[in-house]
Amino acid sequence: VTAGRGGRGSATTPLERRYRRWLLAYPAEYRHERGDELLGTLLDLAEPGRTRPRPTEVVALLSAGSARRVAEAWGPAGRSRSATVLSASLALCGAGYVLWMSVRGPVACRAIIVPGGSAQATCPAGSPLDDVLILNPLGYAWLVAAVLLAALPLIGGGRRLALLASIFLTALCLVSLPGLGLPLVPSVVASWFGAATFRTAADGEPARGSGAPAAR
Amino acid sequence: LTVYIAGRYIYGMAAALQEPTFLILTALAERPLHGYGVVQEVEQLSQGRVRLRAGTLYGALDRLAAQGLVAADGEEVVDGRLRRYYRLTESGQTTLAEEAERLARHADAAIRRLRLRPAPGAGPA
Repeated sequence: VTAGRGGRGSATTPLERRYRRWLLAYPAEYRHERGDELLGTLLDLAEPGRTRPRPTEVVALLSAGSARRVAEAWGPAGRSRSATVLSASLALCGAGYVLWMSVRGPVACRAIIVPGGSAQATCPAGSPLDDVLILNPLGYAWLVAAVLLAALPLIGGGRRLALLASIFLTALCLVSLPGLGLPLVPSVVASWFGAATFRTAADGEPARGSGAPAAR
Repeated sequence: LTVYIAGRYIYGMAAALQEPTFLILTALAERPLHGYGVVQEVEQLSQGRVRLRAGTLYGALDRLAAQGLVAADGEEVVDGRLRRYYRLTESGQTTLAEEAERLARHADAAIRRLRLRPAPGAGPA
């Protein structure tokens, strides 16, 4: 929590405190260098009397902050594009997996239990929560790995590890999704969409010639 | 996924500046501005359509600075708030000029072709 402390004479307002909290989305070093500047602009942009951060600003801070963390963990944009795309899409794949099961009810429950075999009898016709809990071990392992993978760049994990995990999870994902009777198409669409969003946030627009001094 | 990556790659090769980036460079074309100034200028240039958020703006500025298109240009403290100014570099100036010409050519082509379009009802069969 080494955000460059503003102070600068003026009393800290609730809005400033709250924005400063959201700036924690950025890596400490970046916050130290640019935090005051960002905060200044956020406060300039706020209409008089506002005490709570504008939700759209918060979303932009979270997205830009985590993009910054990804860039710092994995080097400049472009070098690790595929790893970023893979990890984001798999994280979304996992999220979609749980979501889909929780809305599908007993049908999903049966679909998931079947490959495991015997457990089918224990599957209650009950609440969505039960369905989520009846994931088979493969599902659990996958979810945990996907969450870890998604968090990896944020907690400073290495690039090679991320790539290995990506490959492992992709294989697992491809093998298990159709086998478990899960909706492959929605999962792929969701992960595609998520990856596009994430990638755009991670390294911005497609840079002309990937950061090479503007081609031509 | 592979198709997607390939698509983005090909797209990236031919990609033009995205609109917010173009507007940020345009905002800085005349004189250096601080972050808040850029947001205001972009909003005005786009007739209120593009309202940059701070996170987005600084993400774009960092990227443009890394590409050498903009550079920091001094700072000041106003009402206890730090304001850093940004200016267009020479490379940024060239990029913006090329992009503006490209867009102008496209706009010209669109207008010319719309004029050649037959009146409604007079189309083929």
